[in-house]
Amino acid sequence: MTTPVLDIGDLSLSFKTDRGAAHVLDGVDLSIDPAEIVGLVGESGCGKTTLARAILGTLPAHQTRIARGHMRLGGVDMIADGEGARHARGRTVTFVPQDPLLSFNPLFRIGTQITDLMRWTSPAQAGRRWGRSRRIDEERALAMLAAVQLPNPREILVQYPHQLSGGQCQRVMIAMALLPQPRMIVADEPTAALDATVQIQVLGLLRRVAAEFGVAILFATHSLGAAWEICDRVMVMYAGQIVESAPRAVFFSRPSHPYARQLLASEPELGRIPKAIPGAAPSTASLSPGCPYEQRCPRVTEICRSARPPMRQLETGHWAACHNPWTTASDLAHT
Amino acid sequence: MLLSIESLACHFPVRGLFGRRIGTVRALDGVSFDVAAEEVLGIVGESGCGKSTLGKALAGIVPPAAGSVSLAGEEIVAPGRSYPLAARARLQYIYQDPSASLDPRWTLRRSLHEPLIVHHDWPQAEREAKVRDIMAAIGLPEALLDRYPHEVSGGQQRRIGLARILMLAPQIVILDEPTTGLDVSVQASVLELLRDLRRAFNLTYLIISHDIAVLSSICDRIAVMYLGRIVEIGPITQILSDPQHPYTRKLVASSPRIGGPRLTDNVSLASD
Repeated sequence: MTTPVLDIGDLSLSFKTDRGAAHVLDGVDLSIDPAEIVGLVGESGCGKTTLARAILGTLPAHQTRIARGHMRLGGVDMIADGEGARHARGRTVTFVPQDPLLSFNPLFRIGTQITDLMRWTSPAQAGRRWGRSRRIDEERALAMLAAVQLPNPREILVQYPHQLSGGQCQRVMIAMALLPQPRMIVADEPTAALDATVQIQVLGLLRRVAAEFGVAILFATHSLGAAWEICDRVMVMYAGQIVESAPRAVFFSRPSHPYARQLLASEPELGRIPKAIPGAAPSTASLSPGCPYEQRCPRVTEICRSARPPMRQLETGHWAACHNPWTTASDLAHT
Repeated sequence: MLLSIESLACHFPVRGLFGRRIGTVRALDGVSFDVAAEEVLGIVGESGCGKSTLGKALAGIVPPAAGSVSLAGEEIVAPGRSYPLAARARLQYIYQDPSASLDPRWTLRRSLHEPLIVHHDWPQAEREAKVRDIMAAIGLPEALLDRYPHEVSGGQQRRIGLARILMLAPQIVILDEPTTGLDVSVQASVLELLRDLRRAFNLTYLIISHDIAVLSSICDRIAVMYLGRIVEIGPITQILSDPQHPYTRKLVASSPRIGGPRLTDNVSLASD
């Protein structure tokens, strides 16, 4: 058995707001193995970005309170060991953003931004500003740009961000995320801002990167189509909780949480009419004692209103938090 | 034909240092097609292909360099021609970003009254009755009327945008990326609403989107744009089953199908 890169258990986190505490993450369990791609799917506000940012340590510290749980990344306790966590972030775990163009500094050439990053993440390895060592940095950057399938890396280094297309920018971002030799990459909607034809290329690239570099990827997305394309495992989030977790093939053939089924039915796909999910997600400031999905659920029963369903294993590796899960194959025309 | 577009072109100057004209972008380069009454036509293409320029040219927001557009036989867009006010009520345009098209300092009620004030001479009570009718048709509670745009959700803002254009009982509605930026579940409900409104108000839609999967669920026909031109136009079933142009083929082949083959298994990874 391999040791997971990231191990999160029972993580509960709340934000201070004017109207009291908002429980944005509630008992989240998540572990990712090396080279594994885990898809985190759910509607906006379900907590997937918060979870991603909790791992990256970019949540506003003075408003965030971690009530329970642990988070270990490559042997470092990310909650108790502040110094270790600071060192791990940007090195052991890196980030691929949603909008690559907004994440570059528009005033500096791509090459400068890449070598600056190398100097910051691994000062011992990186060369000094001038001379031979600077060329070594550039060689490493060029090799990495070639690894993300950019056809003319030397040209890219001297260009400014606005001179690149969205797809090229995202490839450079992926290269920069790989340069510190991380064990894990957090990608938050990395293809949402790209054209359909470019989107599929970047998804393919992420999948290859995971296999080739052995890096684990946490892939937050609202698109189940994208999750279908690259994930090894799919986790569905709702109101700050993981409500279902299953290997890809199992998830797409027999999702068991009613929310997962409805989400799948609302996914736009060629030649199929998507079905809306009635109602809206509950406010995380005032959750009912029962199941968070109780108000929108077509399979709601009496117990759903009073008791929170625990995560239960339905078959090997397939977990769902539901009192009344589907056990049959999905009836959607998906096969 | 309700709407006829005849070799429409829009050019934008490219200016260098000191504002000197150094080139031209042909955002639209001789586009011709017809839209039948009560038809839903989708316009798909990658970013920068000119699909939004096309929508804006039809609504008179961007002046054309050549060509013409006629609405039910009457010419509405041509170089140097000013857009007839009556046509503005009959052909309505919905911007991509719903929050940007609502005045942040106005209540939603005031935003909804405004088109009636501009185009009609109705007394206040009659306008208010119309506003309430449309709110009911669009499925929004009247309590929302006293709120400001930032106080309602993204899906509700889109609905308000739709309500606002329905005030004037248009024949054609041009929608620029009506579902972009919404969650899949909300996206599906906006598409459902568009289908219902079309039936209730006998509307014709021109839907601009980069997402062929979204278009395929609502459109009768699809026009594929590439570099300022329409490279393929046809019924949705034909575009999906037998795409002719290489770009259309690539577009259809890039759309994930859950349960089908994984596209990332054999996609070419190289950047274009």
